[in-house]
Amino acid sequence: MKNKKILIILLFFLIMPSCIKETYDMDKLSGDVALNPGLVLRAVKGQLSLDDVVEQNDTVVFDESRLLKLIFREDSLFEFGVDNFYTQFTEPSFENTTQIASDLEPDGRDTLVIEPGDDIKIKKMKISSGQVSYTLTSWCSFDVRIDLLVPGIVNETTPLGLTENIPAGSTVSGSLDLSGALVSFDSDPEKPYNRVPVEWSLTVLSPPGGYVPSDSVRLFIEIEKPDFDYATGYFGNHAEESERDTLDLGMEELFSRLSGSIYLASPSITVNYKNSCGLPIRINTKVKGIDDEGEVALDSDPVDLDYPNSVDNRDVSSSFTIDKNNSNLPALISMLPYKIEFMGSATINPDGETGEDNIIFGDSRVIADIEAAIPMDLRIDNLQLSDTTENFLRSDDPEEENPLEMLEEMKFDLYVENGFPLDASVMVELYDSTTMTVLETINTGELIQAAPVDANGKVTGPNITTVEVEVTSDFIDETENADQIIITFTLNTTDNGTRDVKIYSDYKLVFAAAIRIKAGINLNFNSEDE
Amino acid sequence: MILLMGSGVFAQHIQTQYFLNIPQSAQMNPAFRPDANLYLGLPVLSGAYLGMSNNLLNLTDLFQPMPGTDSIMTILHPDYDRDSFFRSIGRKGFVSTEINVPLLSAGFTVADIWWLEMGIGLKSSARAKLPADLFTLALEGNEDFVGSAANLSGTGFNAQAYLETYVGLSRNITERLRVGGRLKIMQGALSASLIANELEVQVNEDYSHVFNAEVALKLNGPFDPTLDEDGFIEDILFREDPAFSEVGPSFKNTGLGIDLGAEYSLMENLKLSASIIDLGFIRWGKEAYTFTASNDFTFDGIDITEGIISDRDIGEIIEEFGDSLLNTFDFVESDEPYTTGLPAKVYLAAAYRPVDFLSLGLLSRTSIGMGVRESLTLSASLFAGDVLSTSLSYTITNRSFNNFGFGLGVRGGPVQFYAVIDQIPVSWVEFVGNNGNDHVVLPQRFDYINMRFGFNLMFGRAGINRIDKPMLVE
Repeated sequence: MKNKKILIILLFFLIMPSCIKETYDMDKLSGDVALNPGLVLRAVKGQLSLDDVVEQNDTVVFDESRLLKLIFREDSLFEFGVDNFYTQFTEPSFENTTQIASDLEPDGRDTLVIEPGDDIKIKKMKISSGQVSYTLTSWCSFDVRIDLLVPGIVNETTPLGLTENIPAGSTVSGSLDLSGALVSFDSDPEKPYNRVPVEWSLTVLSPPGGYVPSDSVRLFIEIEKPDFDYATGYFGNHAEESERDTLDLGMEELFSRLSGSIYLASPSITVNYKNSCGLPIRINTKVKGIDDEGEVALDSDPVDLDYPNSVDNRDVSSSFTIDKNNSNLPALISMLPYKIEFMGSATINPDGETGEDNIIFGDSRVIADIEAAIPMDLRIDNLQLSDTTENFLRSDDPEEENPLEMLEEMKFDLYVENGFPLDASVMVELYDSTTMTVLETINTGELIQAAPVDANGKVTGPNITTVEVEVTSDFIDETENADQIIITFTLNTTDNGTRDVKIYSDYKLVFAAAIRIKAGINLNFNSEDE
Repeated sequence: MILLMGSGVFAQHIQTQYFLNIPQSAQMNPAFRPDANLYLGLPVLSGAYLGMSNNLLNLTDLFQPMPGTDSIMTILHPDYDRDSFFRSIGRKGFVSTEINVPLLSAGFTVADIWWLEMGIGLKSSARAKLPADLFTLALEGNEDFVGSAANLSGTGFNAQAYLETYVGLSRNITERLRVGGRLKIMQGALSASLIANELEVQVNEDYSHVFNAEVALKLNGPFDPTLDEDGFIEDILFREDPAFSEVGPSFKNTGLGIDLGAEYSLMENLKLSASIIDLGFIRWGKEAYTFTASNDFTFDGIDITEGIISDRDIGEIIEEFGDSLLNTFDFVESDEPYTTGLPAKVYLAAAYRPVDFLSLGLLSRTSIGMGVRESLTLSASLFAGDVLSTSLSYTITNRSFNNFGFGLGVRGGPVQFYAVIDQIPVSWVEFVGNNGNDHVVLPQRFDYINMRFGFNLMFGRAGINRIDKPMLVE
């Protein structure tokens, strides 16, 4: 009995004893907190076709085959009318003084000569409005009658003529309407242009007994500058040259940051014009593209404009195109010029007289519009665009904690189904402008890989790319030391830019981006307390 | 099925109590009868039960000495071995508590054969379950789940309080076999549960996420849920100063349960026993609300196409995505009564009594409710006649292998005092602060504490012929 009680008591004290295992001095509680969660998330996705991204407008269009084109139009590239040719077209006039004597023939014949300018030979002119003014002055002591006829000026079928009685010692003036009259300057076979014969006769209505030397009559006829419906003849070989000019495209800053090459295979410039000048006109342009490494000349052939060749066909609409077949345009545009230097000349009757009459209408003019088309038919070889920005990864406020510092590691996984014939890679450099040092670099490699194309440069199917881009802890650390970030994009078309590819509106890019973060959250609540 | 599965409350009992010679042992097996002809339990004094259990929070998990220094570090310190913490949780972490307060109980012998008992008591329990993957997600992120899934199913909490009235009967069928049963009627007072029956996040190799969720919220009591115009829960308010009729037991929340048990004397000094406890349910019909939300969707990134094409604000796109995601949830609201099961337990035990004053026991306990949990207890009980009984136990539970319990029963005349605890706090931690001026001493472990103590009034001795006749007879 006693033993059992002792046993029970021993067991009781065996299980009951407690002890203080640990003593925690909470004054020495470490406030260090470290969390390193790893987070992964497929964050964003998207699907873009060129149709979605590019909104068609006057400049960006898809043609009937859905090929992307850049179109630049300029209305009224130039316009000139007949006035530009005939500023020196003087008013033709005729003047003759005839002495009346008993032994003199009172009738006369002469020629009204026009002087339209050097090398200009006007044969016919249809007057739409105008008049002939005349002044008849008599120094006779008797009355005189004058009959004047201009057979080269015919209105309907009636030659231009007048009959006036001039009282003794007086002057008679008047005018004759030329509206609708056809003036033939070519009636003189010797010189069948610029000349109109004038015939007149004087009749003494009450003959005196004798004539004195002062008995004379003066005829003055002037065709006031008429408005003409058309004129035919030869209007000379004239050339008008424009002054050399330079167009600054304002792209130097952008283009200077590009390296590598881009070749636009089939750009074109089309000039659409309406021409109502019935004479040969030859346009010759001299265009050069200039960048800081040199220049490329357009080397386009001269262009002869189409023109009307009868009075019944007064206006011709036509166009001419400058492209890779007749010029060096692809090379000029592909050089991405900073400036375009241009000059040009327009020559009328460049081949001289050919036997075919020129026709100029009263409202003759040449109106031209220009349309430059750059189809996205191109090849790109290692085209790089660099841009430098302020370091947006660091806080402006030095007191503010940079959230990036809480990251030990950050990776982006990009999945791309690229339906464009373009490779692209990106390089991000942290740059210290003070020491001019690149501190850290992220090079994505080929972020997207170009889709394969067929012989016509059209994509045959997407190219799937999976890329991991790691933002290293060293990079994150250096974000605080860099003041600038240099971002460089590199582009290549399919097969490293060795073949032409075309960009169509139905090309599509499917992408998804996942992020993987390893956080390094290190806090110290002790120091905060302090 | 409800009877077996329970509603998610993991009620506990003190394992050590099973082999102790006190009337409360019969709560774990209704075939047991106390060594008395009449037993009376007093309100509250006869043994309030407090049980707490968790596999998450121990002081040594929260704080540890920093090696090589005299400093203390927390679980968030960089030198803390968090892997060991995750290992200690296992697949699921939980926190549970149970408080039982007996209001009245009595038992007595009928016709020298039957033992009839009856009683009434308040029971309340609460449990929260937090899968280990939830902690991994919170502390380690989701990267570890790439190519697999974070299984958060079962996440949630469950709490209920009810009044239990029971009547039990037991008797010897044969000389060796004794059986007993108990019928229980419950009147529910409050119930609340939010359980993610399914909540799984699959993290694919491409970092897309597949979510599979089915969450149920059940409320019974003075709760006022408000819904927004889309039918989503906007707020849930607990009524201020509710009347007793609103929070007290109600016959509108009625439940039934049974306990069944048997004890078989295989040999003169070897007893086998088995019981199933709390096989029952409560149907909550008073102010019941059930909300379920289910969804199955894949998140493979927010589509920013419109942000690129239309220059649309990305924040706007994200907000719209959130709204559309919410609309993919299938919300069902109901004010129909719902049923919760009782946390059923199955006990299987063997007691070997090599000598009259010593009994060696082996107890298996399987609990069903918010998962199935198994505990195994070894015990050694000493009996000094009917006056004194002590029990020392060792329990494996909650992935914990160092749980020593102790029970004591002392009877003097009609009064029996008992105290049972399933984990003796053998290690304590002293917290010192304020430059040594403040001292707090706390048990090192909080993961498994069940205790009960009180007084019973016991009259007479059992008239049953025990095969293991006590040697310490006055």
